[in-house]
Amino acid sequence: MGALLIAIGIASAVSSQVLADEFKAWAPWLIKKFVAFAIRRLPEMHRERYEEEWTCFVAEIPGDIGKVLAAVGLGCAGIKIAFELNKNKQALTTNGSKNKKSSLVVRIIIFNMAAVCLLDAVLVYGLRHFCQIENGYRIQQKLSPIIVPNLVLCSVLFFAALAIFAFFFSWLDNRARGKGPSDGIISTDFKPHEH
Amino acid sequence: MGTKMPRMTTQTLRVLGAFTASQPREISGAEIAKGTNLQSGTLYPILFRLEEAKWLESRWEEGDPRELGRPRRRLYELTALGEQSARAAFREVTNMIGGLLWEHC
Repeated sequence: MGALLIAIGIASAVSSQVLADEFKAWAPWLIKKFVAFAIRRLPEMHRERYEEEWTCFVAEIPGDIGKVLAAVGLGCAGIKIAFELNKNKQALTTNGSKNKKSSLVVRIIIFNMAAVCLLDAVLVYGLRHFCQIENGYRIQQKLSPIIVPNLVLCSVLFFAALAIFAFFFSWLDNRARGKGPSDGIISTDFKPHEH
Repeated sequence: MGTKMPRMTTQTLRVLGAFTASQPREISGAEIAKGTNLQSGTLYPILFRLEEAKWLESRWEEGDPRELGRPRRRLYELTALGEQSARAAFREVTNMIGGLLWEHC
């Protein structure tokens, strides 16, 4: 039993040493990858600055595990900053608000049209069903010429309106893109990288 | 652009506190992280927001990276607007805590 414990102790000591050495060897690579991941999240104009800043930040953290954890944190920071920039951009560009408004209008129109068509279909079919039960064959015959053209008309109108609105809003979007601000970041007073 | 008020969270207050407490007015991200115990994933978005709101400004540390033997630090400093806003935020928090203590005691 004692010999087994000693063997386990030696084996775990050796393996932990090997693992620690492996981690030490891989840590710089891991850190580089995480920092690169964080930098890639950012827009082009911020990359150079944050690359140097974050490389320095990680270098100042003591210990390999601490450095790797800090680099992982920087990955999250990159995502958050990119999200923040995107939010600012959307809020400040007229394109963003215009697109937002137009997509809302399209959704409302489509929803309303779909609701009207559905209601129409339900009413017509419901009426036909009711007539069949209550009054029999005679009334159903009177109603059937109304049902099919009504549904066809509804569908044609729905798809025609959908096509018109799709064209109209794509035209609006293209026009806004042509005249609107560039795709770059809005913050013009951000201090650039100084070399 | 960028003059909108940053979100005033406890972490933001801690970062502002690190600036008001620090003796050299300019401090690096690593020093702020050490002073506030904030992780890099929380700290840098806050620094970014404060800089966008013009509460902070930053510049590169002087010196050549080859001479320094490491990449240059980015040094952050509280602006006049930041100092004023930070003081106002601290006053508000103090008043709020004072009010709560008054209610419960």
